[in-house]
Amino acid sequence: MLLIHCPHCGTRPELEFSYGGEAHIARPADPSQVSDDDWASYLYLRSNTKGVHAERWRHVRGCGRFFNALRDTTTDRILVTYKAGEKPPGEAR
Amino acid sequence: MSESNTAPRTPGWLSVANPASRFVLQGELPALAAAASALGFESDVGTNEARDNGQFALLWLGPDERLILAWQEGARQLAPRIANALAGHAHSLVDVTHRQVSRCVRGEGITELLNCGCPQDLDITQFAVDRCSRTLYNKAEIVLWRRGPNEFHVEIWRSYADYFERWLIEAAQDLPVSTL
Amino acid sequence: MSAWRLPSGGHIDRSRPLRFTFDGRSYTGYAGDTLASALLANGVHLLGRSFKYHRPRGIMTAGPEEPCALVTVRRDEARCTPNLRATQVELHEGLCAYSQNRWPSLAFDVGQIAEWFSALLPAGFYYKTFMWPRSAWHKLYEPLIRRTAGLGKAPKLADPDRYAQQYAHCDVLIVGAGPAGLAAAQEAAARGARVILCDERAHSGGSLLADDRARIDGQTSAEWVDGTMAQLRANPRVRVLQRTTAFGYFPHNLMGLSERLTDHLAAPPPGLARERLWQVRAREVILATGAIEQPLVFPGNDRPGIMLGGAALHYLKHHAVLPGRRVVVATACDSAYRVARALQAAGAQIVQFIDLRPQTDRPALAALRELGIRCDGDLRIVGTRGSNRVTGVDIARIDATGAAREQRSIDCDLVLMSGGYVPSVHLFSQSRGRLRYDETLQVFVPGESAERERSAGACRGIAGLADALQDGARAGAAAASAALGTADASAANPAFTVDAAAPTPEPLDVPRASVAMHGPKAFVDFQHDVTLRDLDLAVREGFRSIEHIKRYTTTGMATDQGKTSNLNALHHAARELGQAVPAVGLTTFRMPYTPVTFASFAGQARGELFDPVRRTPMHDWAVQHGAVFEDVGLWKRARYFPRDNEDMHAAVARECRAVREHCGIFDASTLGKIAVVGPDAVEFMNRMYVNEWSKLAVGRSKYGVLLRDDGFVYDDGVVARVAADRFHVTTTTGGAARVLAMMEDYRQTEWADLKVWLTSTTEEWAVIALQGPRARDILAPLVDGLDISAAALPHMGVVEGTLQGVPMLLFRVSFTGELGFEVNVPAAEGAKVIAALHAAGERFGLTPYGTETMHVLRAEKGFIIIGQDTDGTVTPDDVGLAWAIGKSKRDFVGKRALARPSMQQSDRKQLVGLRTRDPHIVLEEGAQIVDTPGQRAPMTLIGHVTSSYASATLGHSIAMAVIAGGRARMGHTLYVPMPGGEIPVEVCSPVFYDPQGARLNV
Repeated sequence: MLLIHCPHCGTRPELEFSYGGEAHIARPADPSQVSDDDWASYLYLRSNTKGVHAERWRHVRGCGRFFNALRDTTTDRILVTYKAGEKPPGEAR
Repeated sequence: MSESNTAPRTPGWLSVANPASRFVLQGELPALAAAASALGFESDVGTNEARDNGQFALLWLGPDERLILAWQEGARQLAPRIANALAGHAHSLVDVTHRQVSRCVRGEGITELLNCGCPQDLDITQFAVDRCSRTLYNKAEIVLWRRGPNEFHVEIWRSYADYFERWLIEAAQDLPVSTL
Repeated sequence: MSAWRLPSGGHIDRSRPLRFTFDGRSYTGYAGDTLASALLANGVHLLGRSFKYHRPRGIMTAGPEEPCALVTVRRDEARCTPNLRATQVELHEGLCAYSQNRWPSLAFDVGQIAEWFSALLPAGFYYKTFMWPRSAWHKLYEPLIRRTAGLGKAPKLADPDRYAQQYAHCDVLIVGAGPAGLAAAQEAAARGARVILCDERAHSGGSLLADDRARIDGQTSAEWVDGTMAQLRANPRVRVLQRTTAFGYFPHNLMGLSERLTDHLAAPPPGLARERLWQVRAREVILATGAIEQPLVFPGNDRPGIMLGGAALHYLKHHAVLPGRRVVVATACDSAYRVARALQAAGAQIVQFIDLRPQTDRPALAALRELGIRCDGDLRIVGTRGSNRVTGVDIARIDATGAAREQRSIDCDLVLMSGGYVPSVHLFSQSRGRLRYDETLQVFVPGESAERERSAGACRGIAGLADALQDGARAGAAAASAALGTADASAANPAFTVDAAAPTPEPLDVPRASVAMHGPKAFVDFQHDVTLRDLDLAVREGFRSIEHIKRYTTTGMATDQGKTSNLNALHHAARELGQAVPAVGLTTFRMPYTPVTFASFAGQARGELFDPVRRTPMHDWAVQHGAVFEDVGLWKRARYFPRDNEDMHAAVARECRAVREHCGIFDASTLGKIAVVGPDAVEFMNRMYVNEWSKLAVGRSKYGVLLRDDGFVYDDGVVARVAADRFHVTTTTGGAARVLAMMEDYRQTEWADLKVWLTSTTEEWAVIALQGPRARDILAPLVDGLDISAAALPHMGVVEGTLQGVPMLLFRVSFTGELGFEVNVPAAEGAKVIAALHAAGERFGLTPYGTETMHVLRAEKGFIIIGQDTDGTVTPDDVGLAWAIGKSKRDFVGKRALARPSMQQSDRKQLVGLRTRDPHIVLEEGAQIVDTPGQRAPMTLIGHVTSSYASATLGHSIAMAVIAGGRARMGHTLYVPMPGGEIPVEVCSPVFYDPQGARLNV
């Protein structure tokens, strides 16, 4: 069970969180202008990173907020967490 | 409840602590501050903080979410009062008086008992008096508010209360829990 | 006094003799004994039969690393635990233990014929021998192998004991209460840290338990241990857990501990949990897990009466048991010298001491000789004798050509072996710490930590008591400082005054592989019966990776996780492969360190506590009226209300007729409810749902359809606008949580600019549905003057009011096709209100109905159930809901995906009705559908039945199905192939009843 630092509440056990998949995949502002292929990519294509992965978590059994984390998928070490809408901290990459 | 009649008798360290009404308030910080003021608090509560002024309790649930407990005042009187104070502030005020129930768990060893199902560190140095947090007790979501070194106020959705109480009573068999 | 028990000494309580049985025979031991020490005190060495060859096996060790002495301990038929290590089972009055894997008896075991055929059972034999014919595997080979190969048997009855679980947190968790662990705990506690110290034994002290000579700070080791423990126990910030095994090291410093609470008690207090599973989150972890002595590999090294030198010393010093009188000691390191001296001093005769190492002129050998012990260097054991206990060994000198010289036989009743101590790095390895091969010690030691962890003492290769104590103390100080964020503690250098030789885990000073002696039945892995020859075979057959050799030979894969075998196997494989040990690598140590009961993982989550059981506010009302309940998610929902011994079919038929002819009353409280509130509530709803919400007036409601962005139907429900900025959204019962989660996702992460907030109100409201032509007649007198006429409250109208003074949100909605209302009242009032409604309705024929009737009634109207008639691949149009889509909306969740060509093809599976030719046949839900009769498998399947019921109202069965191009097949005959034959069906509209909706608008 991981320890996850919620940017709003502090460090809590993983049980309080739900996983939200890869981060920074924005829904196109005007989907009608997006090609079928691009829409399919938006829906289904994910990077499946080995190494540092930007991903979404939600502190669903806590403050309820979505936020993002940079986690090394090879070690499960979470390098940094940051609020939804913020850019990933560059130096952690 | 017929099927739950088999539950062991309620022990002394567990009691009902329902307020007269409950609201979930959500909005931006000015709205939350205005509500706090309308309820007689000097300021809004901080992260994971709960405050009680005798009439109302204000609990931090999230950065934009508060739980208001009104000890005496019913929802029908209170709702318009808060709504007036919030006029001009975008917000959501939802009556959850009946959505959940409140329990008081109070006794020597209560922290360990709660740690049978709650994965947070409840040591008083980490979870001080008047700290509150939404969290889990095994498979039930709860809001935990420490009212004293050996006393917690618990908010739990109505249909999970039976599960929560049964688990506490079951787990208490293996721990030195005593009524204060 | 048993024959093998010393008259004095040890940590046993001679005033408390304990009777126990082993395989039905009675014996006596003392408080403080383990089953192993008590049996040894009674001269019993034969404890079990080996896994594969059924060879007699005894006690090899004195701790958790025991590979051989596995027993079943039984309190009663249900309380029966197999595969316990006799070396860890604490004796209590009346303990009842059994040997395993033998028939008909331990001393005479028919399965031992396996050994005669051992040439047929080499490494990987099951991959080769039992491959053909394939069908024989399940029927013949596997059952046969399972019967003969194996360990103990699990009890058949449910476990009657209770099991507890506990989360705990600390600054410093210390695993192991040996010298290093105790010193660490002392130091960490002194610095104010919250400390948890756990140890798997009943007594703290670790290696000090077998030491009565060392002096620490002027105290005997026992005094020092007792004093330190008393100090720790008196500290409220320290928790000491005895009989507690750290079995798993999980990410981010979470340690799983298994505490045994009652197994050591003759009569456990009733109701007390048997075990407690701890999940400890530590800021810093100190592993002080010690070192494990390794066996020597030589032919016949597995006979009962052959044990590790350190184990014999432990039995002697801790339990005052002399495990043998005529003793042969074979060693490859120095620690066995001390063992020999101690045994000799206790009255045993060391008939031969051999040092395998090439030097023959060691001073230590000469010193032993002075004690009258015959001892030699550069000798090997080349064979052993004895059936159920060792009776002798053959020793020889091996010359340069590998030939045995000067071979002679020695009679003995105990053989002690010592292959050096190996750091116990299991937990470190589990934590993903990187192991480092120490060329000098020839062992793996902890390298770089992956967690906030440090190892201390023998488990990181520190030898010597003084060094181990100091290492522990330093680790304790450093960990406390790191956890508390206080000043760096590297200056801390607590001194211990230690005198006299302490048992020090010792490395080998000759190549480990070189001390292994080839020959028949030279065992490497005692628990899985893997020999040197098996390893050789694996190498010969081309296996190069130690991971492959491990899996092919199964070495190190038994429940002991290779504690006494991994290193010998690795060194041997490396030599055979001609590679350096670190190049061959070490296999991963898996959790658990020692086996943990399943019940311990289940903990209290059994029976009523397995899952929350959610009951609605009207649950008792339903019980009073005889409801049969079904589980819907975590909810208990009334399924039907049988009267006078009705079966479900009859009850449902009656309930359906009552709704269609009079009125039914139904508890709909479990429907999910979400308050969507804020100035941007309309915009949010427009973006989330397919429907157009802008024009929905306050006081009106609408059937809403929710898609995922892939265009498939996710949920549905009636949505009411209760104020300009407030929607009351209902969801399916099962969808309540996930719909709210999905909405929150879009709200927070895609449209964070919208001023709208979501609150679950599922449990705020009790919901009572009144459905049927008399619904208004029943309700009208109760609603305190509110006008609920068709004009004032038309279909899909919503109004606030009171019902006999109780605040009410009243929906005029119908999921049955009849005139219907849904009365929402505060949950606490639900029981009162449903009783009032029921009483008021009785003269109108008001009948309680359950979910089964609800399903039939909605299916007669062609209303879908999410998750039953949809499966996550269904578009709104597929299920006839295209009408709900707001056509002028620029965007909503799922809109873009619906525009893809594949979502609009005419051959998509579409929802249709089915009528069977024979009106009495009720199709099976899930049954496949074909379009031509007489097909043979593989058939061309064109769809399946999603809902199917007997309709009492219509007098025939009805069904809904999704069928490729279904709407173009109206009137066609299709076929449902079933084991009993094909059932012809006719495709029809899914709306079977009142297609014009005349009954709604009254």
